[in-house]
Amino acid sequence: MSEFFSAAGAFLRDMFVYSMIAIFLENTIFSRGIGTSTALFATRKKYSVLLLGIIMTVIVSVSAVIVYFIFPYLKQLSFSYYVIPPVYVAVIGLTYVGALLFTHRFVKKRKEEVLSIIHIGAFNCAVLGALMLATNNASGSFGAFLGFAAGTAIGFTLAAYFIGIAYERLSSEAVPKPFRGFPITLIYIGLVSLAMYGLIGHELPF
Amino acid sequence: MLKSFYQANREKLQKFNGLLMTNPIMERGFILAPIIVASYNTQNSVALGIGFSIITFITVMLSSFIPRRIPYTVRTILYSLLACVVFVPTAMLIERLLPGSLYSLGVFLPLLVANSLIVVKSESRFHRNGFGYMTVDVACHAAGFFIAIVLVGLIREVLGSGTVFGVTVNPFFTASAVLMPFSGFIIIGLLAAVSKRIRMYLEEPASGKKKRRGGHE
Repeated sequence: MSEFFSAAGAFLRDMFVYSMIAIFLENTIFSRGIGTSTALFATRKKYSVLLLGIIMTVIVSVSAVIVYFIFPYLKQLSFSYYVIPPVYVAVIGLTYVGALLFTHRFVKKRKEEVLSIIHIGAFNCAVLGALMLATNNASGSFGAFLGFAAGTAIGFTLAAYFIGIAYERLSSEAVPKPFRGFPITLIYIGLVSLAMYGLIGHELPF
Repeated sequence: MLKSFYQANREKLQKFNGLLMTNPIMERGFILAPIIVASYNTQNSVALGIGFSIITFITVMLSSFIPRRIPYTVRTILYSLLACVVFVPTAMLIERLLPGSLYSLGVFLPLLVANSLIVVKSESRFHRNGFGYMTVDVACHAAGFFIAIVLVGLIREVLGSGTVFGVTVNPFFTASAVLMPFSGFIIIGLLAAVSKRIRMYLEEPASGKKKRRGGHE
């Protein structure tokens, strides 16, 4: 019994530590730029960032569980670099189809909205990137892998929220026309990214 | 003169919009991750540009043969799997042309198999047109991406390392911070503003009276 509790404790500890790393130190948008297009698209179309984040976290977590058990076999191949993308895409594709079927069958409230957000959030670079980054950075224990993958999606949600709250102001007439909207939003993301870079203890390499 | 030529031939030039007017990076903000993080020197930029152009062009063209009666979700997954098949020879070609590139590009080259032009724009734009129009349109989007990423890589390498393809061209000053991802966002933001100003100039009425636009976009 005590072995079970110590294993569960180690799993939760790894999961927590790696999810914190993925959310703050290796934030998918501010540190890697992955998912920026999806976040900008969702903001522009006024989709619910929270719902997008929840859907993405579920999709990434389910895909990460499958990928974790497949990866040891892929790692042994000498040509694993070329095999990983199609395998990961197939796994994400299966999860995507599963999420749509589940929503059709069980979700009653805001069904159409959930379905449209699944189409945006389930199958894109951000989800594929989350799995690839987890493979590169946290392929040790199951808790670390799952924590990193889920943390990447949570970090995406947080970053998309930051972008969303600034977007309205950055699209206003107070901003010069050539900069209005997309250009100034990118500069804003760059400045937040610089702030986070400093916040986690880095110094500029001048 | 350029403006009046553009305005007189706007319809004919529409298929070339991917180069500037609907540039996938500068106007649409698609495929930002590789350009922000990995495009910090010219070699990486050229490698990514070649990779993106080949993968996207071949995948979009081949995916137009996938029957429309297959459900949308399955079609999207098939497009990406097709891109994975194209990715293998493309990655081999890049490694042969620019040795060491695969290692320095990390996850950003494989990520191109799920890029927005393949997953989203194939359905909503490219496959809606005839084969000839689609060929030119996709080629222009690929060329637009290539030009933008090489420009960003060139600026960052000159300012950050003082070199171009490893050859010193700027011995006066360098700022390594330009190589970091946050500088990628800022540089692309500035270039997007320049590109938007050019688009505004081309679309302004030639008479000199400017079109009034709404406050929000």
